[in-house]
Amino acid sequence: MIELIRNCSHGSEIGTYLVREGALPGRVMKAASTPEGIKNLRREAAGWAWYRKARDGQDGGPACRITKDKNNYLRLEIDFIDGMKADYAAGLEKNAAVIKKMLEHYCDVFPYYADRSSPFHGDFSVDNAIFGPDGIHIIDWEHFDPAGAPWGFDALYLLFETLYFGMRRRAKPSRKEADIISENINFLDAGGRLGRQAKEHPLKFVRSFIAGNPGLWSEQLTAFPGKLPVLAFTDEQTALIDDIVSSGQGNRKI
Amino acid sequence: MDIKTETVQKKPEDIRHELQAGYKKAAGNIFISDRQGYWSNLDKDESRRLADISSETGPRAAVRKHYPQFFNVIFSPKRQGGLELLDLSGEESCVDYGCMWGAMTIPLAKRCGYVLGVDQTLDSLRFLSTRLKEEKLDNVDLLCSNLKSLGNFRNKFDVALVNGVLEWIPESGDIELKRYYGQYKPKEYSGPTPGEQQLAFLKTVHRNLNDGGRIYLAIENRFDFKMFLGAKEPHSNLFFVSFLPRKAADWISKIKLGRPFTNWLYSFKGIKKVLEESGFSRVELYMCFPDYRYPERIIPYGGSLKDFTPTISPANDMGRKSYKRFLARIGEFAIFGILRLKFFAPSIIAIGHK
Ligand SMILES: C[S@@+](CC[C@H](N)C(=O)[O-])C[C@H]1O[C@@H](n2cnc3c(N)ncnc32)[C@H](O)[C@@H]1O
Repeated sequence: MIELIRNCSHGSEIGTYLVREGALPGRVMKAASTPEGIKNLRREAAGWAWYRKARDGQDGGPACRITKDKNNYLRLEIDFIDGMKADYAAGLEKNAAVIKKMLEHYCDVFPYYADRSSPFHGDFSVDNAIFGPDGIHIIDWEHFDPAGAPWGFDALYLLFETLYFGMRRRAKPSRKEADIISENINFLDAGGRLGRQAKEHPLKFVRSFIAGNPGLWSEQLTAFPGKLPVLAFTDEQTALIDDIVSSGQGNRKI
Repeated sequence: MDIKTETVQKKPEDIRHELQAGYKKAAGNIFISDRQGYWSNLDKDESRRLADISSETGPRAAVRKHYPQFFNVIFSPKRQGGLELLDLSGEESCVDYGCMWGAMTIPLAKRCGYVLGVDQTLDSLRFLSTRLKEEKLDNVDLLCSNLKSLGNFRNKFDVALVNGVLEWIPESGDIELKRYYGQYKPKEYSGPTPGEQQLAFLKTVHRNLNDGGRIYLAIENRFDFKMFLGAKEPHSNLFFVSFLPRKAADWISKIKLGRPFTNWLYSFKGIKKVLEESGFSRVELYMCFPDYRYPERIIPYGGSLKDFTPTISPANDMGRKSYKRFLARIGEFAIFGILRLKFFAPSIIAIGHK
């Protein structure tokens, strides 16, 4: 039995389905028949192929298969991953442990190439992490690019997206939130891989990378401007948040 | 997974042969019968104009410029969300009854071997033909005919789509929706009841399917929860008529619109029964939220609503939020997320097997 679980959400042009075998979920299926949707599904397949190898070695872990590839129609299937998701909307404080695990996973799996780049996920969100018996799995690779962003971009994005959801209508982060961010940035930078801007103005860095590379999200940022919540921070908020965060980093160093 | 009956797929050549033998060929891939009619949200002049402009500027540009309010109805990729239920192999020969502007015809054509789109409204087909050109699809023919008097396509199709069409079958005469929908337009109907006409049409759909062929039928639920909470029945723009006994609905409609209520809808059980009466041996039912046109969730009727989250957006197509939508969203969550009352799901998709 097939169930439609998500349809062209957030400006995407992809339908997502759950295929059950008996009562148990067996596979996740995704389908598209527009150039935009098909392009993103091809990225998804490439993303899974890369991630599976990076995370589990050649033959382990959940796999993704293209099951139909006509001129104008593409369908793929991904093995179902059984596990729990955290609530992305709960914000940074409640998700602190989840975020720590996701960043450790990021450092383990995402390589640091000679040109300082790394594979790009593009929606590295608490909502896209499944915690299974064999650890974390990152899902939804629709924006994958094999070396699309500076190392650390996705990880920093995760911090600020989660901050955004937790802040709701508050103008600035709490001291606790700022501390979580600066601790994690220090953790990420332990190997000296973050660039200077990423360390000193992390939110500005994330936002300007997005602004400079909208094509990585193809048409989605135009179709659904709310797709990347970090873009909803104002410039003043961005400066303020970066200030509070880097003063936290400073404190820690003293 | 369901076990599918192994059948030899029907050949498009047989269908094309039938078209050439029984109908006149008009421009491009459009065939016409002497049984044309009219049904559209646009009035006749607008329809003609849209088709004309589309052939010059391409359909997307034409709709965006002149009828932006219909852009999503025609082009939104959301509309095809139900087609995956058919698990198409890519080889099937299909028919889209009441194909109109091709919202389903085009995504279907990308997934299968061949599609015949049938509609009574010539200018809608002329518009659709410009879409086929834009999409570079050469596996689609179009037939302008009344669905109630189709020629001989016995056993010709592997799949038949009836998407938002069954409820219009009992109508007769030309309908320019703008001048008809919810308006006082006295009209007499004679002959079979709406239900009998719908049954006769579904029997034709069944007859035209190959052994092992399938119908994909999408329609609003007669007992859609919104209609109990003060929403109007979407085809007549009247309160209550969908779920009241047919006689009472007629009575209200005659007072308000001067004509009986003919857009008969069905419950889950009701639609299964009609399909079985039409000859379908096995019927799978699905609940569709928030409706079958822009489905967000499609769940087997036998499945679970355990993880249900609301699908009605607080804002409309144009991004405008409203109080009514907000209440509908809360109602939706209460009825399906908490009480799990499947019977009141807004729309139904039924897949019937011949
Ligand atoms: C509500 S529209 C559905 C359009 C399309 N299936 C979709 O999903 O977008 C109904 C269509 O059915 C056609 N139709 C209704 N009754 C018909 C009949 N008796 N013969 C031919 N076409 C008919 C109308 O012309 C109209 O284009």
